[in-house]
Amino acid sequence: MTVNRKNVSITLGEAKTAAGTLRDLKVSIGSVRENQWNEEQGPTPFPAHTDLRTWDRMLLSRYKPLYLPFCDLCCLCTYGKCDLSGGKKGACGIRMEAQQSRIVLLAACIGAATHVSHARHLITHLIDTYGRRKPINIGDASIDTEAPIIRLVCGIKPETLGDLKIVLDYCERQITELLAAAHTGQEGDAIDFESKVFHAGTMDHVGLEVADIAQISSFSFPKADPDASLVELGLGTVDSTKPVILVVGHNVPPAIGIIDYAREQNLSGSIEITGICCTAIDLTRYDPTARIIGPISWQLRYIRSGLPDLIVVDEQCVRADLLDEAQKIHAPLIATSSMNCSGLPDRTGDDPEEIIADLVSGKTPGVLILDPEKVGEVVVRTAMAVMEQRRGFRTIPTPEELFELAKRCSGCQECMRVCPAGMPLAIAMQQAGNGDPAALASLYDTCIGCGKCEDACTKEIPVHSVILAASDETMQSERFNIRAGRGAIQDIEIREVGGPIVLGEIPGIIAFVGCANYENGVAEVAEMAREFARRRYIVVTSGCSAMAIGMHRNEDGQTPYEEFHGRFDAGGIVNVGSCVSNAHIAGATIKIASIFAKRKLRGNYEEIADYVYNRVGAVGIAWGAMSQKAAAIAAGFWRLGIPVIVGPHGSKYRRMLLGRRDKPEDWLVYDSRTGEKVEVGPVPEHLFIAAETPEEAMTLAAKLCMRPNDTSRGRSMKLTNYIDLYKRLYNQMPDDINLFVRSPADIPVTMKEQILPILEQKGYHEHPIPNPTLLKSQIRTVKE
Amino acid sequence: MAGDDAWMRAEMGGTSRASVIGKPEVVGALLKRAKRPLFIVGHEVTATGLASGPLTRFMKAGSTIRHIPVIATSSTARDLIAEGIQVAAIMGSMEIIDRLRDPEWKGFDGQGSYDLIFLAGLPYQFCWTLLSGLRNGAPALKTVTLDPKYHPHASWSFGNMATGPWQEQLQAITALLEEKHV
Ligand code: SF4
Ligand code: SF4
Ligand code: SF4
Repeated sequence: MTVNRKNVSITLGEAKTAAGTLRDLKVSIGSVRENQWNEEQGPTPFPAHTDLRTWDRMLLSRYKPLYLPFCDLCCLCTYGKCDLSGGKKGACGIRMEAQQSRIVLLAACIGAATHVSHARHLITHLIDTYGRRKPINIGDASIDTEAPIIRLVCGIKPETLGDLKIVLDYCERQITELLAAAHTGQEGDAIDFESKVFHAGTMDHVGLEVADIAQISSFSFPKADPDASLVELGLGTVDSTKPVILVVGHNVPPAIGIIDYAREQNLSGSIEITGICCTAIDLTRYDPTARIIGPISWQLRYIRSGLPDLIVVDEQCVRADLLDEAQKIHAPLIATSSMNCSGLPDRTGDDPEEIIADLVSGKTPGVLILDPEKVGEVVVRTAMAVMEQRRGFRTIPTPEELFELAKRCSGCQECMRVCPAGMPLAIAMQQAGNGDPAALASLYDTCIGCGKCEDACTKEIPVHSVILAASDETMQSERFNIRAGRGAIQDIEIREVGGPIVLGEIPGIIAFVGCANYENGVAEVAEMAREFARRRYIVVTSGCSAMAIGMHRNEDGQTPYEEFHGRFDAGGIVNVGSCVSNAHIAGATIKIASIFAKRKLRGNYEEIADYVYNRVGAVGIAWGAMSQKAAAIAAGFWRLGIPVIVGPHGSKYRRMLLGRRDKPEDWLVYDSRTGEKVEVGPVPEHLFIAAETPEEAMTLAAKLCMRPNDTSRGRSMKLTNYIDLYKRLYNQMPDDINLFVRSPADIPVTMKEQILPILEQKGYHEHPIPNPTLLKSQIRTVKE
Repeated sequence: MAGDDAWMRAEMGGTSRASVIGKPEVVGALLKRAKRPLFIVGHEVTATGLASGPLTRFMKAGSTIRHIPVIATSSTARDLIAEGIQVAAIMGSMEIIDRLRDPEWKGFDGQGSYDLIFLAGLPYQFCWTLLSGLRNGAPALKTVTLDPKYHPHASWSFGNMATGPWQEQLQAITALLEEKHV
């Protein structure tokens, strides 16, 4: 008999009752049945935060938080405001460190809640459409472990959409508790807040997995397909002879409603469906002829170009001013999610004819429709009807207007004082006013399209639009491609690369995730991804970072998706899909522990995280990360022991988790064979760090891929990459090589002459490669 | 433009604010009192500082006359060395700040902790968070930003300045070092 802790589920092999003998009785209270999974239940199914607190504190004692308060004040309750600077306590007794970690917790909870509620919206819709018994299938025969995160965290093996509901119930309870801990007078300890941040991250990853496995199973998305089709990307790919529909956000059912309606009416070839952000990515998983315009920062430029005839918004990463922007180009806006009603009237219950008539006549600038099917009909028919009457409306100035506007510039620099990309706007604008817009045009690639410069301008110049006017040709000619999101990693791929990764012979897995905002974000992410793929790391990516990688061509005119294969193997660039597909990146590391190393997964978080941390050389780079979702995703990786690097703006997440390589005593592990504590050096050195430049990020990433378990061959390969990158970018040898060499066999043969003198000068002590673990429970008894 | 409001308009983070370096003697006096000063130089110095000369000269004078170690973050080192500046170490800024807030840390040379930090060439908002980390984590440490943008979280900062007056200030500080050996 197995009793599931949180949802009573009892299986009896045989029971004698007054009425006779019952065989194979299954009783299920709650919605998860006991199933074919006969793996023994681990110690922490459906864990509360405190169940994993010991593990968290182990990590946090090595990677101590460095707080960088973005604000000295706390304004959360009416006791305040409180000034917490200089060691002062708030009226509630809280100190700065705890306050900062509390804000980090709030951010992580917002992020996790967003993904979990997104998963809830999807599940509700999919169960309504396909029924709760719809089986989970994310890779046909290629995938046995369909939900590694859920199996690991919850200790259940979900088989149908209905099974996922119970998982979400759990996440929602946990997030509510975590959020409650941030209330005044609850948690007051910084490290306990941090541990709760980790828990929010775990809940986030569970939510991501629910969302993506549900949508892969229900829609005809690629199922773990390394050769998923190449789809078009870029503003220049839009066929403007057709009515153009723009979808923005993350929750794909309304966009799928549009495609389905068009298919049913034989209109697929007559409309152009384009998207921004993750809805676009998921849309192309459903229909590879849909087009991705670009990441989050492309919203203003695309709308202002006047191309979209109708705009559909769902949830997450949607600009709050899209209704205003839409009205300026006379495009109706349809809101489709309770997360973002945009102040529009709810017309879900109305006849589509009436809604369309009101939108076409301009009686209403937009509507809220919460039924994806109805969205499909209203959007397609309205877009076709408004196309002719609204074409010609765009808000990007003509070349003549550009000149006139730029002439107004007084050089006051107010625009520069709000520009997050720190651009030299004033001088560029004045040059444009003198007839030379080249400098202004050169800012296009760096501009993150926030629009703040326009509100700041003292001469009412629409600065962003003027930049777009100067670079209109560049913008209109953006034509790239991206491999459609493949979803999970196949079990066979894991079997094949598990050994080389764990032994260190594939130098690492580098995941480019999150937004690609921020100055040069797009180009820098693409260049970093190519560099690591060329070095035969496994590069994985998702969401806006996956798009950014595609928006780049090499000398031969190929995008990285044409240049590199899509298999989860050395030298691949693997687009798993949208933000929620990040689950497959974490999932792949977990599957290495379970499929390759045959560790038990079920409710066995600590052991698996300990395995991933000590053996799987994976690093996340969230270069333009800005959202609370990115914070939550990162937190989920931290708890698995996977380091995350962010770009310079990531310092605004206000705390880092840093190790100290100069403290050898911090870098001890148990050798599980002997139980002895052994020194392994600072691997990986940090858990969360902001880098100032891509050069710093790349050298850090190469270094953070080292793990205590690396074989000598693996370590020497990782060192080769680290040293080679460092030398190329810094023009000298790194000064910490001695910390990573455990024996002469670790020294890369081709670099011996350069490394030996450094080792002689700095000294290093030889130590054996242990079977590393942080957990006493993993130490084998002498007999074994 | 007012000289002592944060260069980035929204960066209003606290109740205390950096004192504005009104005249070069302020930095001279800080240098005179300091026992263990340190330069932290970020990558933007290549675009804003090195080519313009005076900042380079100040760093050179500081490192040769007062033996102030220059720590380069990221690839800055390449450019500093090309300018003839001796780089004592390369280290990411987050790692430097993490060490500076540790009272036990003995410095890059093992000789003890630092008491005066000059920062230059770091992206504004990145530098903002680093300074905030130091102000809260290492309150005894004095910080001086050398860029022509006001940084409220520093102990001392230039106001928001045009390039010309900023360079003049740097030249005057360098002269104090070279002539009076502050
Ligand atoms: S929560 Fe505490 S620190 Fe914040 S305002 Fe209230 S009393 Fe002050
Ligand atoms: S829209 Fe572009 S130029 Fe304007 S403030 Fe934002 S990033 Fe800077
Ligand atoms: S705010 Fe306007 S007037 Fe001032 S520099 Fe910028 S563009 Fe010119």
